[in-house]
Amino acid sequence: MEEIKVGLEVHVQLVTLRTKLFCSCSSDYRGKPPNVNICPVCTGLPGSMPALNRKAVEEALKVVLMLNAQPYETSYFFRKTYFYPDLPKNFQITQYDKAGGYPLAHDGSLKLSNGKTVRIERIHLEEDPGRIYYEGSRATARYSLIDYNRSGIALIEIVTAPDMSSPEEARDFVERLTTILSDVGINVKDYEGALRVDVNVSYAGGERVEVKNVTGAASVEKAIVYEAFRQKTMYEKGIKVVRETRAWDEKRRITIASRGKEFEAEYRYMPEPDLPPVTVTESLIQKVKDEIGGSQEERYRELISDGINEELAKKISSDKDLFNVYEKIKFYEPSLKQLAANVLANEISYLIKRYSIKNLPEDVSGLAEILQNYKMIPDHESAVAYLKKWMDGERVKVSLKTVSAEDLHDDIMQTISENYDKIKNLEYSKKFEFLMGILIKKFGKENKKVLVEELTKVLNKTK
Amino acid sequence: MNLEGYTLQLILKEIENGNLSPEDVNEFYHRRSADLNRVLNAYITLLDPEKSRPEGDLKGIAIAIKDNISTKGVRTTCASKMLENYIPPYDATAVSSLKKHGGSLLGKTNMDEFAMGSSGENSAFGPTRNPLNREYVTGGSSSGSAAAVAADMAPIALGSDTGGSVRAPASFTGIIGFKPSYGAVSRYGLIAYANSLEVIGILGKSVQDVSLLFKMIAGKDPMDSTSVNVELMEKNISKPRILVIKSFVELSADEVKKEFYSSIGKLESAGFEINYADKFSLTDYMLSAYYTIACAEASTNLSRYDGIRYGPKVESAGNWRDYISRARSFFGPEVKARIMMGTFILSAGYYETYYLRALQLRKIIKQEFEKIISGYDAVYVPTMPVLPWRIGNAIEDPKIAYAADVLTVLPNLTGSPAISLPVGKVREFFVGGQFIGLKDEDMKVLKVAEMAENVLQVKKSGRN
Amino acid sequence: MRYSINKLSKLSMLKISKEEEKMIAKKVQALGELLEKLDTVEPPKEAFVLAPEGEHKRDDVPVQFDSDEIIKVFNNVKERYLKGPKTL
Ligand SMILES: [Zn+2]
Repeated sequence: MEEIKVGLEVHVQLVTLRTKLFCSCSSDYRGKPPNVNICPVCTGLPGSMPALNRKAVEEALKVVLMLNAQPYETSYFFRKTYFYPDLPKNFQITQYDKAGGYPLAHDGSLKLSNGKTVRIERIHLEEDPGRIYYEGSRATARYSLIDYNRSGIALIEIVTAPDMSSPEEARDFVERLTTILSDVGINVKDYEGALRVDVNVSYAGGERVEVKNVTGAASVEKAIVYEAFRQKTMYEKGIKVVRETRAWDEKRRITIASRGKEFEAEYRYMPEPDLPPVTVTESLIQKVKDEIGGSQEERYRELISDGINEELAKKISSDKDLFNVYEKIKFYEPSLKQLAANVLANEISYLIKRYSIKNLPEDVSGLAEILQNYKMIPDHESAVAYLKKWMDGERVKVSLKTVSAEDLHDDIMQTISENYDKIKNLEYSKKFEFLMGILIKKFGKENKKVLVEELTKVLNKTK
Repeated sequence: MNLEGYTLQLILKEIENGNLSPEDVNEFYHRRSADLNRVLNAYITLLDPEKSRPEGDLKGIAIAIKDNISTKGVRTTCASKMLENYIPPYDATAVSSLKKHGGSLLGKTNMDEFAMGSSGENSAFGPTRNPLNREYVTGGSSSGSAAAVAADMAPIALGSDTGGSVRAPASFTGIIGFKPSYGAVSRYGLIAYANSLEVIGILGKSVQDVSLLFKMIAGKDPMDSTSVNVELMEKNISKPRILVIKSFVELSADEVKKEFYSSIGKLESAGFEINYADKFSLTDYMLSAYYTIACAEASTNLSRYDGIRYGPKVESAGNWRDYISRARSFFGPEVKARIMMGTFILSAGYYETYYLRALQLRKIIKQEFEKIISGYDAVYVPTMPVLPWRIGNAIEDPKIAYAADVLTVLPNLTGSPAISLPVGKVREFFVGGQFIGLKDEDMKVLKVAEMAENVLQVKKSGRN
Repeated sequence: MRYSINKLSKLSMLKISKEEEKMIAKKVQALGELLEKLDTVEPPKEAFVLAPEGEHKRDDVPVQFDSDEIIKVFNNVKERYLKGPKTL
């Protein structure tokens, strides 16, 4: 088989954001009724203006750094004009590397499993269009149904050089990229349609054909297999492949010539006058670097070298937040790391799921307090309650009077003698209950366990 | 009760003193507007006076708003068939600022469609007529706001200025028109024509009036990323240092020139320090840079009007391309011409030739302006090179209207504040002069203009 | 300067009526003449923007706009969907 060349344009939704790229509408659109997360900005009403989400730049920079790309100190937003009903302004706000513009970053790379390096030409920020539905099929529907909930969601586009030479390599690229994205918390796998790929394929040095809107790594591979086969067949029949845009039909597993919005290649790019340039300072890069931390693999290795068992290490390394807490506790008091690992992988993980907690507190001193006094907490239930308190951001103080069994023995004897008249005629269980009442008042509930043990001992002896 | 010639400040003082009630004031302007609108066509939408009286500095006084500034629940047409029935679901930031200060809405004023024009003739609702002579244009594009203020159909009005759209009609109707620095007033809710050039401005009867309203609507707005906080402290200037650019004055018609030079004489004898620069080397390029940038921005801004979300409901036969083209036929000819010119400018192969060169020119013009103004408080030049023309003339020859912008586009290219005031009189018309300052030094040009207004006293009829 | 009114109107998705055609051509011609002056200017490398100084970014905090108000603006609505034209 002759050589094929594959380049990818990967669109990734920044799913860690709570709002859209240019307006304050919630970005949580999946499973919502149509047109609930909309405002004048993301529906392109007259007079509305975009305002850039600060965190979008930071999240995008995380990916830039993970892909070894170089951020430009100043980058610009551009208008890309084309008419289509899912695009409320009939232009998309994106970034551009021509016409005097600069994208967010350039010249990155990603290493494939087989050791080959794929060059990344540029990474830029842009807005997602809305979504169109049809009653029946697109071909037969009498009208379109448009939902702008997705309109304005923040995307990054990662553009590679045509460095992949097989469908498998392209699939591997998307899979490696997905792992890297999850290392910075962008778990595209959890969000349907959060990663969409435009695939450029050329066969035997012929024209390149763009296959638009392929979702997921497996489909990327299938689309390229089909497209390479199609082009090969044409090549062998002596038919010239034309430069065109095709669409991937997931159901039929074929690519089809697409008409519609790609009809006109005249995008009429111009700088977006309503948005100042994006400046990326050294201190912003440093801030983002601090937030990134390492990869899951690095985290796992560190936990193992700390002597944490594989099962716990796997669980903690898979979640960057859990790992960060582990690191902080380790720094705070190294002797607590084993217990911390246990609690993080079990109780805290359970609580995160149970109460769908989004963020763990920055300050771990409350957690350290709990861990230091962990043995003294009478039962598991109270321990979990303390942990929940910390996770809710409340102040935690485990106030335990530490009493030894020896101290208790004297106190118990004294209590008995002081109340001897009252208890001498009571039967055992009533006697026990009466004395426990007084002792609990004196030593607190947290000492209940040891009190029961000691009192039983004493009463059994004196019986 | 007759409030003809009353300034906003006088009205507020009379309310304070108990001689007027806000209801009386609003009733007066409403009644007069309803009467005069039949002949002057200043309002596209005139609202019934509000019953409730809001608290605040403006005491519930109703203000006229140009119909390209979004008003929640009140239709905002841009004087276009395209938005004939469009009712915004939100207020422009400038409008909510006025409401916060106790202002209310008198009506929405006529304008050149999508603010494209210098005469007030390009409106789908018919031309605005000049109160000074109804056969003549008011100037544009804030034509209705100017006519309303000049004819006492509003105490004060908001307009917008992209290439002179506040100052031109102020000059043609003999009132004050203030274009603040770029970004000094939020553009959020101002329906965009050319984003990088325009700003919301104020048309009023006195410099103090526009200054008062400016301070209410100025300030950085998180919804407009290009907005800034400009200094709002009153400036003290004892002897204004003024620079007159002769090449600008020379572009004007003789009767304008004569009145303008005579105003210089009066200012000089009142203690203004007058200096002259022979020329501004880029004078010939200003209109080219302006129209290139404006058309390019307009062509993308106006892409959104496709009849799908809002705007005209058109027959849905055929495909989406037919649908959109049918809806977009609702634009008027001036708008279509500028969209097409902008499309041409931005198309592949021409972008570098025209658009990037226009941006480059703009940069050089800004640098030269900053150089030339240094050491002076303001530049002083005529606002319009000609007197108002008869309604219909510029439709015959579009070059007349484009050329009339030659003296007003400079502050839009540089982002400078500029204020036009009547400085002379020819027959029934006034000659406007404008003071232009350094970007963000709005209070300085306002102060200079106020001093000049006191010296020149062109409109003696106004009561203060 | 080479442009055709026909091509520009198509690109801009503008339908132009016979009656308008002459007037628009005249306006485009007048604007075109203004542009010709730019032929002598040296083009810059970067786009120039009147960029204000300071921080202009928004925090990532959701603010709910009353979406029913927007739906009221829409021309044709079906079960909260905006009803648009056929896309084929
Ligand atoms: Zn929104």
